[in-house]
Amino acid sequence: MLGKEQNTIEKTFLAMYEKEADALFRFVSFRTREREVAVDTVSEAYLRTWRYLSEGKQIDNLRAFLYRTARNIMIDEMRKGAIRHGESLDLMIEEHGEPEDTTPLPAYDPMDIERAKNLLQELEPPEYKEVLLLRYVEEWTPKEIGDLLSVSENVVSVRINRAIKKLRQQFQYESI
Amino acid sequence: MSLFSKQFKNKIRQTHLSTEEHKGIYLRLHKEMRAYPIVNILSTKQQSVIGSRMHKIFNKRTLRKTMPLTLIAGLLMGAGVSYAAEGSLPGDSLYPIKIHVNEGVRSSLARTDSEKAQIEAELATRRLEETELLNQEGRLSTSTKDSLKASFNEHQGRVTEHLRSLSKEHKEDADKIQSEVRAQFSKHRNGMEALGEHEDGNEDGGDNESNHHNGERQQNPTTTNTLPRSRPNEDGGGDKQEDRQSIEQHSNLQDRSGEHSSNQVLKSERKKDGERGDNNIREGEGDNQDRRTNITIPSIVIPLSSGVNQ
Repeated sequence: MLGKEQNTIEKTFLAMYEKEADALFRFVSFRTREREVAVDTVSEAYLRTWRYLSEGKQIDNLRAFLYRTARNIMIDEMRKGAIRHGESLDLMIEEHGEPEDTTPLPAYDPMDIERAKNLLQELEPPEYKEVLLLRYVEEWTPKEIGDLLSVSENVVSVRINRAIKKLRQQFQYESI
Repeated sequence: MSLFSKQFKNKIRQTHLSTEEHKGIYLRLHKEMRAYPIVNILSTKQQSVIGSRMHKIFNKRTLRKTMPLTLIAGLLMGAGVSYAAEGSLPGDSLYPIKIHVNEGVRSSLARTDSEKAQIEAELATRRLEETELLNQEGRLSTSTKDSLKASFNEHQGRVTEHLRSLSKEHKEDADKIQSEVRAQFSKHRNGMEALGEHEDGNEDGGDNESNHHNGERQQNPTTTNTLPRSRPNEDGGGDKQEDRQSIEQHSNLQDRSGEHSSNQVLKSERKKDGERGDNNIREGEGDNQDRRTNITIPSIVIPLSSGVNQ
């Protein structure tokens, strides 16, 4: 008796969970540093998105909506002061084990990679690291990022450029 | 974007949910989805949304008749409503659910421009089908016709919009969808006519090269020197000729808009166009296809929407 469309929607939604959960977790981790908070935020973002859908409301871009929800949850939590800066992302990786050595190539000093990663995590303002993560790690297009942040493609491109510039500066500065 | 960035990416991607965490969220989500299935559309909040939108579409009398019916139908059937609503027509009690709930959810699930364009096109086609059915049954009133027409225009406008942004990156895809849409619409000429569409807006239905059509329309007010060239050119081998043809059209358009301006200006504009055309021909040897879509899309897309708004 259930409509075919209902099934399709559920499937699409669960597929989006499989596909995006890890990426969303990374996205959230960039803001919180506390693993538990990050996991809860991911969970909450999916639940809220589903509730919104189940009320028959319209969502133009499901993925952007999901990320935006997660982002808003983080910002709310931060205002409430619930998010503390404690555990670093490195600790999170060690605790839960890295996936067996994803081919560390010899071309670059692993230390450099490590350092670049740390710099990215420390990059201020958070908007900078956010766009860099989405653009270069998750490989979103500037347009997709713009949809998420509700800004134009141009604004995103400018922001990416500035973020790279700043990151590069810090990288070189540290090398001296 | 070198080895470094690749390694860097891998490094960052080492942050991910553990299997247990992943599973934990999944279970919670699954539970939530059972508790709040998507067809839970008849909450009071949703009712009022449907109600307020219905105002725009149906007159008050129908509204008063429809609301309790919708409510009862919803309570009785629950999950089946959205399914049952699929086949409804304007004036039926389930029609608001069909267009606001079912179709709303569908279009919200489309992500890419091509998906969006296709869904909007399908919804526009549905309006035509509904018009045809109502017309056959003799139930097509003026107000229903107006609302169907408005809805058709809305969807069609969105098709145009999505195709335009799609054509920026994937011209061929946009072109393909465009011709599919035209083919779909052309199957419903009766519906088009019933909605008061001007027939010549659609007469070349599935034909890809609407340039010809434009050319013919523009013959009347212009000078005779373009006449021989704007004749339909059946074989596709004449790319270059087609190019010139569309350039002629372009200058025809300018002729029309600036009828009172001096010949001098027209001449210089024409000359400019001619030069541009030459360049095109020289550069474009390798990518005929691209050039063609470049010209075709705007000329098809614009008549579709402007034709309807008349």
